[in-house]
Amino acid sequence: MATTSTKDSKGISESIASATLLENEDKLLIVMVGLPARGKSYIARKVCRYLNWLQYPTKVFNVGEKRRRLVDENEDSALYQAGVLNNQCESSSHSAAFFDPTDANASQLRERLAMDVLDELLEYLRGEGKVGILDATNTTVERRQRVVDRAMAAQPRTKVLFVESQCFNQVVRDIISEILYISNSCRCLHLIST
Amino acid sequence: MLASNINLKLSGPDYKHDEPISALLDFNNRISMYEKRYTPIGEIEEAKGYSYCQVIDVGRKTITYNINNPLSFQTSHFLQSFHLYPRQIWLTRHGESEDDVYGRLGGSSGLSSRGQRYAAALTKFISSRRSDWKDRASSHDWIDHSNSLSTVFEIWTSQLKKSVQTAQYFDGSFQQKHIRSLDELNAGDLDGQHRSAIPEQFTEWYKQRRSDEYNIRYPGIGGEAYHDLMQRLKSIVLDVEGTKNHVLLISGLAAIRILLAYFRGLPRGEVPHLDVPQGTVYLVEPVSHLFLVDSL
Repeated sequence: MATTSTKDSKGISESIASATLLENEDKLLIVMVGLPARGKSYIARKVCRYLNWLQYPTKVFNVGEKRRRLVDENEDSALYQAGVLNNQCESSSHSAAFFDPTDANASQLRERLAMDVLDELLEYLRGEGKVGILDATNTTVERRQRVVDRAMAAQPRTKVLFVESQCFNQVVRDIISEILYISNSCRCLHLIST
Repeated sequence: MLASNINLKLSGPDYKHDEPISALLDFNNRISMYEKRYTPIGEIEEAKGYSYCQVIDVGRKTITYNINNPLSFQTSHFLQSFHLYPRQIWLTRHGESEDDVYGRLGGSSGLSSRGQRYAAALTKFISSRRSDWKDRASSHDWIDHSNSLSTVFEIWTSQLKKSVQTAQYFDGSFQQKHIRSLDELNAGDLDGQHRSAIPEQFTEWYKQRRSDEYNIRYPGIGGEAYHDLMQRLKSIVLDVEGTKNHVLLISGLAAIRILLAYFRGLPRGEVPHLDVPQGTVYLVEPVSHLFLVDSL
């Protein structure tokens, strides 16, 4: 831990516990990996809270939320305009067809959304941010490579840590579903209260 | 297989306008779309020398590879500590001490008579909450397939007399630990001084501290800042996250403030000013995000 010590004129020893622990340390990109409903967001938020408590500015960047935000705000119109969704692609951006890996348009759109969110994260790391957590499924080797490439292109010294969540145990799965339910309810409450 | 999990996600924001049945089909499809092309982290990433932490069943098993920098180390260490088993974490300040009565900072006195009464009330309160929990746990349906839910209740206090005495009336069915790293902020040369005299006697220091209460240390040997205390409480946070037992934490004002800041995700600037009165009990349930405050 970095500390500075000085003596003032009265000879009282003063000390400041430095808040910037790792001033010269590189920044960290945490890339979540895992299928939907495996507790990725719960883990991401918990890690975020812990690192912030340790005084490392940390933020979660969630691709699903960005997707929903786009849909809610624009009813897909921006996506149509961008030419990514067209009329043959009858999916709205949260129906299953949107997630079909064989649908070229949909997968192009998913890719773009993920990269947009990653760019927001990298921007945060360029500034005050110490740790950025990319909360998305990132379930393919190609996607994970693209994330690393893009982060390295932005700042080659950035460290990357993949965090994958897998669940096999039924009790753990049930508890995660309770958490999903609670966090969705909280989101509603939050909306009501704001 | 994942039916209960999925049912709940269907009440989420993606499906708010849809019928449950079609939404269920759609979400099932969505997962199978992902499964088609899912490659878990493994040999490919290892060959490239990437760092990873694979968390299986949230804390039950973790695999780490090539963790090579301090931030990743802190993160993976934390990922190994926590789990999803429901239990309760209680926090409270010690009861009023003799030093508190005389307005002295820190000190090593025992409880005042008022503090003793709090110790008795706390024992009664926590004992009844413990039996409430047992009733609640046995009525929950997910308990059926989980034998591993803890009924053990631990009490962790600092090693200072006033904290130890606050826990003195709990019987042997509670497991007690007295932990040094839970000790209150060390006030250095100011330990035992009258609070009211400090601004005058330590003018320079007092002025400086007011400008940055989180980082300015108490003067003298061993004197700490909130920041130092946070470093010291890191091991307590990891231990609390790690245990599946219920825990009651008893310590001083600054320590409880810092612990509440962790559980509540509060920003650093708020911590030294957080209102945490004596005689108040806080409950955190990590999984349900339940947070309750009770004044005894």
